Amino acid sequence: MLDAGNWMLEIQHRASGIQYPVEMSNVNDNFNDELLSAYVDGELTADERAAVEERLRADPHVAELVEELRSISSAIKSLPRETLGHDLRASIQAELDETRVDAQRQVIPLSEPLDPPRGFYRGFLWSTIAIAAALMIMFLQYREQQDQRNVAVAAKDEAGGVQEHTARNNRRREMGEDGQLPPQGEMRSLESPRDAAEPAAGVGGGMDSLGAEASSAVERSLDAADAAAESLSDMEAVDEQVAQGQAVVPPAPEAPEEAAEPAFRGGRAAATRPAANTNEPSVEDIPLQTVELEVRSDEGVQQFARLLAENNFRLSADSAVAPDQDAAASREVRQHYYGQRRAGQHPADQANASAVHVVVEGTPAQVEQLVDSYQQQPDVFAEVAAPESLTRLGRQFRREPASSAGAQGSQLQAEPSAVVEGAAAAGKPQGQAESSFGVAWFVAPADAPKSTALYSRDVEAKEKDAAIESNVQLGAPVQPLAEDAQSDRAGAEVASPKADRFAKQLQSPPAQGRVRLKFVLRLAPQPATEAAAAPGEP
Amino acid sequence: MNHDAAPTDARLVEAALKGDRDAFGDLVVRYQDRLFNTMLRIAGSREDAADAVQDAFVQAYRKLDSFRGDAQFFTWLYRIAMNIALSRRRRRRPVSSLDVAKTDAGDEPMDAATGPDDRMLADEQAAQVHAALADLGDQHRKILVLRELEGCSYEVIADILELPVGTVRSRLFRARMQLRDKLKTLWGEETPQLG
Repeated sequence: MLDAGNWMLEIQHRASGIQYPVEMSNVNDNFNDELLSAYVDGELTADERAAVEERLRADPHVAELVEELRSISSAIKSLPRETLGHDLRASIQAELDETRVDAQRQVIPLSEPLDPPRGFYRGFLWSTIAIAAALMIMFLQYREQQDQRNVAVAAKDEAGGVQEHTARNNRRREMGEDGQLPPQGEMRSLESPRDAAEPAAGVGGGMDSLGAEASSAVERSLDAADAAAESLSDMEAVDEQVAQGQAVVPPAPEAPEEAAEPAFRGGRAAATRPAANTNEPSVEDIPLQTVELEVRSDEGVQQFARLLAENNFRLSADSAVAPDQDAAASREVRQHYYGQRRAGQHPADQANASAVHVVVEGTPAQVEQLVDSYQQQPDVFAEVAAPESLTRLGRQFRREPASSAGAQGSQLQAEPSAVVEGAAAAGKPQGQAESSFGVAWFVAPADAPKSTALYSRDVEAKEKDAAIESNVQLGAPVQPLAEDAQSDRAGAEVASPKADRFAKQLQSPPAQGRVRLKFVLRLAPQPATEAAAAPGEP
Repeated sequence: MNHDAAPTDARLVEAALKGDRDAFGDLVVRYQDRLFNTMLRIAGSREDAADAVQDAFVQAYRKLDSFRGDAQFFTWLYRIAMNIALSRRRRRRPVSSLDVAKTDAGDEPMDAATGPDDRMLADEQAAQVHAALADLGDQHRKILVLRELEGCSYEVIADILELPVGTVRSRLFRARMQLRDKLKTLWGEETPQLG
């Protein structure tokens, strides 16, 4: 019998030319050669073994084959024993954990993806409710602010011999009619649908009722927003915003919690709100415009987020949800404001969407500047399509005829509850617009330093506007103002048409000092980016 | 006699089924190297073998509730690992051939100071057998490895490969003959310089 050390010599020797002593045919005659292999392995029955041993004695070729089989066996057995070299437990554990997380994610109810661009925006389908809830928060909190501000202004008016703030509403309409403000028809066409969506509870409601409504709506909205609101609430960035007083919302007035509005249910709340008194000043006075923004690549989204920051827009404390972290766009936006800490923890990772929605709020100048910044970079932003109404701000934003986007904007204004859905539908077949997406709110404090973005008009003009704006107190933090401060600012000299316009706006409902802009951010169609496809096309 | 004997596979499986991951970790520790050594000859490379072993454990854990208690855990595990390793191998073919083996054997340094991957092939003879094994068909390679490296009985092999014992016997014989022929081809063309 060969030992393991010699088996190779044996095989080598045989392979070098010595005829194998046993041919297969020989052993197959009347002897099952398979038995030899099993014999080597000790896997024969007693009878079989006896038969093989008898054959071995009779046929030396068989014996040689058996030795050969043993050599083969020894050759394999002599292969070095290899070890893994490390413990697999940790990696197996990690993989199992990852699988478990994936499984948990899979049970998150999600809407159907709406034909997302490959590898690009994947937003949150779960967020329809949360978005609408956040919108409710914003609207209602603005109403509170408005109410508070009205109180403050009314106090000032009283001191100056002016009547209560309802009279200002009438004057505002008069101003609109005489052309000093945007055409009243346009104004009302934007506002009236919102008015029509006012809750009955808000009709003629004073501060208390509004506060109650806001408070309860906030609670319900937060419930609806669920994890989104929770996940956002403890984000360091948000906390910082709040700590810095950059949130647009003043402390909510005390309000009875029982003043719940039954119509407020999740994201559909606004849609079911009944008509309200159109004379009641509220957040609806702040125009919400939609800008379709198409980026040419992921880098465009990075630029979008960067400009947002450079223009001093900060994440609002009552932001709804953040876009999908998996999408480059939303990741950029989110990471910029939230940091990396939340990466991979959001419950809606599996969602898909076609667009990321970012709502910004700021003074007209700030919003102008922001849009202008995007517009000035056609190599990054293929499309910056704003509705016609944005030209009220004194600037022409549109790069392309934006009839579609403008129509969309009007439509959105006409159906505030459909802001989210409507924006999603922009450029998408209606049938695909049922999905949802992430919306983040960004607010630029009125006293924020001017943007460092240098892509738009000349810096001097910006500074001048800033100074004017500051003088006329547009966009100041929306909260009750001290009378002396009001007096100083109201008495500031106005030295330009823009200042004049702002000053006139100041006499209109104060909310006119701020505007809101919703960017519907999506990837430009790659083959036709230079062709600047008509807005609204998918 | 050591009365603190390690728990049996069955006990560890039972504990793992109750959520005790440490118990499954014990199974991993118990079989990872042994399984790796076997999968190395099946998959052909350390990387694929390691991946196959990990995948096998992961899959085993996921399907642990489908494990039949009347079977040996390692039998079940090996079956999973075999399938994974062969699947990987099929996707990456050709991984090895006798020609490659011969080239490798000629270039393989005999220095023991080579890297971990090279240690496997440090012995020229072992390298050539390894290559010959790799050049076998999957069925023959599996059965040879189980028999020669794992020392599995025909019955266990039959269990792992889900074959009749008679088939195991005949296939094993053919596998050995094929390996013999491959080694004959290998050495007939280039005689190793053995001492």
